[in-house]
Amino acid sequence: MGFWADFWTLNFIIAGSAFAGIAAIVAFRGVADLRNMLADLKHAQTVRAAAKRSAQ
Amino acid sequence: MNFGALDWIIVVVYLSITLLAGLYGKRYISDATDFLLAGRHLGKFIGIATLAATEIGTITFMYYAELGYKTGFSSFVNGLLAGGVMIFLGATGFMIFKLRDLGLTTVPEFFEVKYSRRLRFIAGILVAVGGLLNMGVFLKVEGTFLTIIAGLPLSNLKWTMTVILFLELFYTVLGGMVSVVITDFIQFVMLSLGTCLVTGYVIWTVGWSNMQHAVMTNMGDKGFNPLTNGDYGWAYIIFQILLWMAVDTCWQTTAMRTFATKDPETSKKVFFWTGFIFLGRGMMPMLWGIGALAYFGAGHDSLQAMPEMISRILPSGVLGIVVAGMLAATMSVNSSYLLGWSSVISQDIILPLRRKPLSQDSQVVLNRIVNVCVSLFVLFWGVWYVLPGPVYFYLNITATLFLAGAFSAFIGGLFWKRASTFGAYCALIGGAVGSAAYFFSIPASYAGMSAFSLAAIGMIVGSLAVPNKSRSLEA
Repeated sequence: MGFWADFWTLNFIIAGSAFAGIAAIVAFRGVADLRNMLADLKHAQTVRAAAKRSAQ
Repeated sequence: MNFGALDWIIVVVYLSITLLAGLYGKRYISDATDFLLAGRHLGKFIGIATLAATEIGTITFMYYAELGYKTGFSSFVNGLLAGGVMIFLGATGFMIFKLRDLGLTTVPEFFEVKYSRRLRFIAGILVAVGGLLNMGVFLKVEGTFLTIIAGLPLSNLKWTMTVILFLELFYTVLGGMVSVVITDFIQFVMLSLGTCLVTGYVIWTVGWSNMQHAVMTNMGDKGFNPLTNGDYGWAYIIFQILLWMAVDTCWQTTAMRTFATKDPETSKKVFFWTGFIFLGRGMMPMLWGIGALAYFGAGHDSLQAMPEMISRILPSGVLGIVVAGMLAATMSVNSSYLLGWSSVISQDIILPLRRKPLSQDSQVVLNRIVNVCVSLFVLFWGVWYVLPGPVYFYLNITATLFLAGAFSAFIGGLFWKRASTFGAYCALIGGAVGSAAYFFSIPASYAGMSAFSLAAIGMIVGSLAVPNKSRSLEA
């Protein structure tokens, strides 16, 4: 049990810390990313609508 | 049972916010690419959130906790391999860089780009069958968790399943990938909070040393050493490495995130950092299962032990946050899977059958209709199908049905000039036949290994025996 118990304990500490840390960073910085995505989609929509109008 | 009025209020508020956010996405949809891939505008952080949320569901917590309950700390090897493979792919860009560069919409589309239109159609059928069988058990397992934890009688399971399905169907049908990404972000935050809270409570209440003691008492050394545990061993480890490489590159819902990122560099970063989340995605729920073993002892229902423990140890208020988190996990996975399999059925099976191409608007309508049909299938399959063994192994094998062959065909198509259409046919058939062995009482690790081996042999031998003038990907 000795080696494997220590091995999994260490792995769990790394995994748990990484999960919590990355989740916190993504939660904060993801908001700006989401806004950018929606702005890009809106922009593409406007460009497409303009192209459609000029084609008509 | 601690689930009270405060918990119900938290859950209802969370669901209302999610549905409104999902509906908000509808205004950004103007063509099929927006509907299926959010216009390929995913950045790094939102990419991590949607990839993680897509692959972390209540089903994930349930099957990993079941493995923890049954195989102790040895089960951690699954989390280590899943996360390790994803970190490797993100660090090197192996396959994902080239796949993003191709500008695909669905996985079977690769078969047309590299091999032939007919093969795309056949791959589409295999992807759809494997994917629907895989997703078919989600609702039942997730419904079991939520019914138990909310303190409802199990006779209400079918109603719980139906409510979950209609909630996620509602915004997926209207807003497609844009709604899925917006809700994925909210769901990622909620499920991360819920996961960390439950892990903290389990360690605090049950105790780390008590969990180690329970595993040692019930399983001995094989509860810690995956190499001596009969459920794992070297064959299983190799199978899992291959399977996770295939899942990360060829699985429709994961690949859709690769295809939807801004550029290949962003997809590398998304995979690298999500890999670390995947380490915790595996090990934390497995620990809950081990906690349930220490809490109840052996002999409990392995699937129900974890939610029963959680419903007892978490106080009211915290339980509401956790259930909202689990609902978030459930809805994010199901909505993404719903969109993923529907897109394959519409784009790779129905559209190629039509002589006249559909307009963009008609494609969006077709996707919405397929969404509804897939939902009905999932509901009925969940109600009637009885699982042949642990959920995790069933999910592995139904995924391998397509993935083993697709993985060989992808590697051949991307890196081997002599890869031929006939070789790709042989790979798909070999992979499907090998994985089907599981349903004839062959252990999952051997069925999985034989699927990947037969697929690779089929790809190599088939390509050498019947070569063709394959089109260059750079052309």
